[in-house]
Formats: sequence, C-alpha cells, structure tokens
Amino acid sequence: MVKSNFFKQCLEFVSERIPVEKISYEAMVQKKSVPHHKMSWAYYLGGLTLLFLSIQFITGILLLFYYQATVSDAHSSVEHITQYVGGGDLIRNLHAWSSSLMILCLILHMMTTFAMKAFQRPRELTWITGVVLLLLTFALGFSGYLLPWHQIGVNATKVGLQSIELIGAYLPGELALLPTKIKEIIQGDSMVEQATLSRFFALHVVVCPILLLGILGFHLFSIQLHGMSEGVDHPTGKSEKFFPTFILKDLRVWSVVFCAAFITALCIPFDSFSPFPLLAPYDALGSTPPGIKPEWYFFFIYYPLELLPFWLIALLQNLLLAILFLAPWIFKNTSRKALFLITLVAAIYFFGITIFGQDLYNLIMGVHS
Amino acid sequence: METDPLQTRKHFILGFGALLLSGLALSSTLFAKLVSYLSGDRMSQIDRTLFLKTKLSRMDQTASERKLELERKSSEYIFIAKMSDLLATKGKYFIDYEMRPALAFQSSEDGLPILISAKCTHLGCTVGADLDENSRILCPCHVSYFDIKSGMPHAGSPAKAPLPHIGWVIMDKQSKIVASKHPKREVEIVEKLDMDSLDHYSIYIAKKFASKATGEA
Repeated sequence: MVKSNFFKQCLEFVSERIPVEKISYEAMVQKKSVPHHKMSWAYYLGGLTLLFLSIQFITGILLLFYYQATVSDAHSSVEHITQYVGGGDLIRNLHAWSSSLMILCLILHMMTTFAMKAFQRPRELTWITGVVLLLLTFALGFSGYLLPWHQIGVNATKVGLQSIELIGAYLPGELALLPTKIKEIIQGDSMVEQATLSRFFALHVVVCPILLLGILGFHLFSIQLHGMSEGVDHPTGKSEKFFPTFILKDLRVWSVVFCAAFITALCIPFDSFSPFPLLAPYDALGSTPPGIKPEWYFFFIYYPLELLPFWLIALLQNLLLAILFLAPWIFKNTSRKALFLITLVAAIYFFGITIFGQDLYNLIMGVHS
Repeated sequence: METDPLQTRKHFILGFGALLLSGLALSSTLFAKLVSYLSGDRMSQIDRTLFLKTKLSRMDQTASERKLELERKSSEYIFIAKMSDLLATKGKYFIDYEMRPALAFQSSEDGLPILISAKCTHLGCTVGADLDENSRILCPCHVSYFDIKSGMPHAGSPAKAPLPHIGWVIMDKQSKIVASKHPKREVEIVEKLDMDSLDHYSIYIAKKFASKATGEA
C-alpha cells in the first residue's frame, strides 16, 4: 500500500513536470508567449548561451581538423593552426572568446533565473538540468585548458587535480584514499602526462558534449512545455508571441553579439592576456613559472582557496552545490525581493573576486605587484 | 505627429540595404576564412623547415622523457651529475624513480650532495632551483619557501608538509661506491672523498632508496 502510494506520488511528480499532454506544435510554439516587464532582457541570456555553444561546436569541429592530442604534438599543432593555417587564428580565438562569453552568459542566465524565481514548481527539473549544464560547461572549460599543452594549462591542471587529493586529509580511515584514487582515475597516470591529455581530449570533444547535448535537449524541451516563467511579482499583463516576435528579436540580439564576438576574435588574440612563458610548451624538467592561474571563471573558488583553509572552501563548495540543486525546495517560500538580494550579493562576490581577486590576494599576503 | 511615408520608406530602404550589405560582408568574410582554413596551411619552405625542426625537437624531448622512464624501471642506479657540476646556490633538476622532478645541490657546509624532491607538497607545482639568502627554494605557485636542509616550509606557508629528501650514492671512476645516504639516515662514508678532485666522483640515485622501496609517500 505504502509502496503504491509512493509510486503514485512519483508518477504525479513526473507528469506535472513533464506534461505530455502539452506536447503539440500549438502549445509549444504557436501559443507560447514571452512576458513583458522590467526583467524581460533576462529572457535573452539563455538564447545567447545557446549561440555561444553553437559557435563552440562549429569552431571545435574545425579545430579538430588540425589538432593532435599527443604531448609531443599538441602544442605545435596549436601553433600550426594559429600561425600557418589560413583563418586558423580566427577560429581558435573565436573558440576561446566564445567559451568565456558562453560561461559569462550562462552564469548571468542562472543568476537572473534565480532572482526571478523561475525555478519554482513545475519548473524544478528545468532548473536542475540547468545546474548540471553549468557543471558540464565548467568541466568543458577545465578539460579544454589542458589541450594546448602549454605551461599554464598543464600546471593549472596539476594544481586542480591535486586539490582533489587534499580532500583525503579530512576523511576517516580507508575513505581517505578515495580522493587520490579519483584523482588518478581522472589523471590516468601517477602524474599529468599523455594519459591525462588523452582522457581530457575525450572528455572535451566526446563525453561532455554528448552529455551536454542530451541534457540541453531536455532543458529546452522543458522550457517549451512549461512556457516562460512570469518572473515578477506583479505581471504587467503584457506579453509578446514567442514565434515569430520573440524569435526574431532573439535573432537580432544574436547577430549583434555574434558580430561583436567575431570582431573581438579578429582583433584581440585571446592569448594576449598571458605572458609568453606561460604559453610556452610544458617543460616537465623545469620549474613551474610564476603566474599559474585557472581561467577567470574559476577565480571565484581559486582566490578563496589561496587565502582560506582548504576544508572551509571544500565545505562551502559542497554546500553551494547542494543549495543550487535544492533551490526549488529551499527557496519555495522566499519572496522574489529576497531572492533578488541574494543574487545581488552573489553577483557582487563573483564579479568582485574575478576582477579584484589578485589585488585582494596581494593586499592580504603583502605581495607587491 | 504624422510621419512622412516617403521618409519612412527611405529609412526602411536605407536600413535594409545597410543590413543586407553588412550581412553580405560578414558572410563573405566568414566564407573566405572558412575556405582558407579548410585549404590547409600556407607555409613557405623556410617556415616549413623551421616548423619541422620545432616538431622534431619536441618529439625528441618526449622520447628522452620515455627513455628516462625506461631507465628508472630497469636500472638500480641513475646518474644525476658529476660532483663538480653541483652548485650550492642553484639546484640541478633531475627526475626521481617515481618520475617526479627533484633538485640536486651541493651542501655549503660539507660539500656533499643534497637531493630533494621538487614537487611542492601543497598542490604539486615544481619548485624553483634558485636558493635565496636563507638557503630556501621557492614554489612560485602559492609562495611556499622550503629550507633545503630540513625540507620544511616556512611558517604560515600554504604548504604544510616538508619536501622529502632523496637518498644518493657517490661512485668513483671505477664505479665503486664511496659514500651513500639513505633519505632518513646519516651519511655513510666508505672511503674518504678527495674534495679537491670532485670531478672524479659521480652522484647517483638508487632504487633501494626510492620512496616505494623505503615506504615513503
């Protein structure tokens, strides 16, 4: 009896989140509307993330035509692409710039979705898949950083993987060995070597993209099924048709943003932000050059790791993850005003530490730049 | 306020034309770049030669790393340096039996070698080879200074554990062991070293002193 009740509740939960009766062109496209209010701009962020993801797929496939995933050839194949293949520098720059812009849009999309309380019933699964997509995007960023096999990429990967091992110090008994085992499985060897490059390459070009496409498919399908969330406490009552009005507006934003990204990639090499010693081929027999850092979108966790005890950061990180996954239930009765304030604090922290993290580190550690 | 239909039409035509032109310009640039990209590289003979040289040198580097690995699997002793080549202020990098980077110094006190792991105990970066005025080497990643004599990091550094020392043996020209040091014991002198003829002696690491053999991490 208890069992059948539980099964019934599960079924009800799923059917409310995936209302199959709504699967029709009419409900999902023709009748779908986009609310009009002061936060309407936020509805473009998901689309922009999708635009950058498409750029990533196209430029990624093009890079695969020349890239060679071996420790002896990886760096020179990237040099070959950027220096000797016509348009190669543009393709690689576009891939690098677009990855950063995709993560920026994704983070803003998540923040605005949270502030607008768009995660509430029946959109919990849309939110959760969004969190998984964010994690997958971070995994793509982390794995992609190693592929050029330059000093900064390999050393940052070493530091990142070694952090996993540190967790072992806080675990009891046999469990203490688990993080080291996990690290070695990811690494594929006792150190960052060919096995790591091969694994990261497979993760970056096959595993993560396949998972991402599958989950993204469900995410988009779920958005079309449920329609856009109202997003504000007092709806204006105004809205516009999703198709064709909003789609056309979306395309207009896409064209402007694509032009901006294209011109940026054409004029500013992404690598120009790192000095050459960091972009030189990885040297296993030399000292790690100073200035090793992860990509900017990991600064929110990198600088706290530099300044605070590891256990505290590991605890906060897991807490944040749990909060993100459980947000639809934790913030069920929280007002949009409170959510907006939480988002504001999170945004100030994230962008503050991303921009001023190094200055803060220098200030606290007494380092003179 | 009424708008002049002719003006509106003019604006529309101008706007549409500009949009069409910029779209065409962007598409043709994209198309040209794509065709150029797919057509393969455009290298001069000189560029191709230089590029091939670079590629070959990196392949050589990888091959030499593989040789190092093979040597460490099959040899009981690995040559590190001649005694006369070691310096007191700058370490010589080498690879230990676990294929981890390490440094060899000459002790400023007794002239004997100091062999120490160069893999930072904090997050695994390779520490620098230059000694500062306090006989410390620096990990540039998160600024930990390690005393090479004790291996200990400085107070308050991100690294908490010391850099482990590595055992060594010294052989003379006849490959006879004249001195050795287990990582955790005192130096054993078999035969007194002639400190004025250091080029007669070579330093080796020994498999029996490797961390797997001694049970160290």
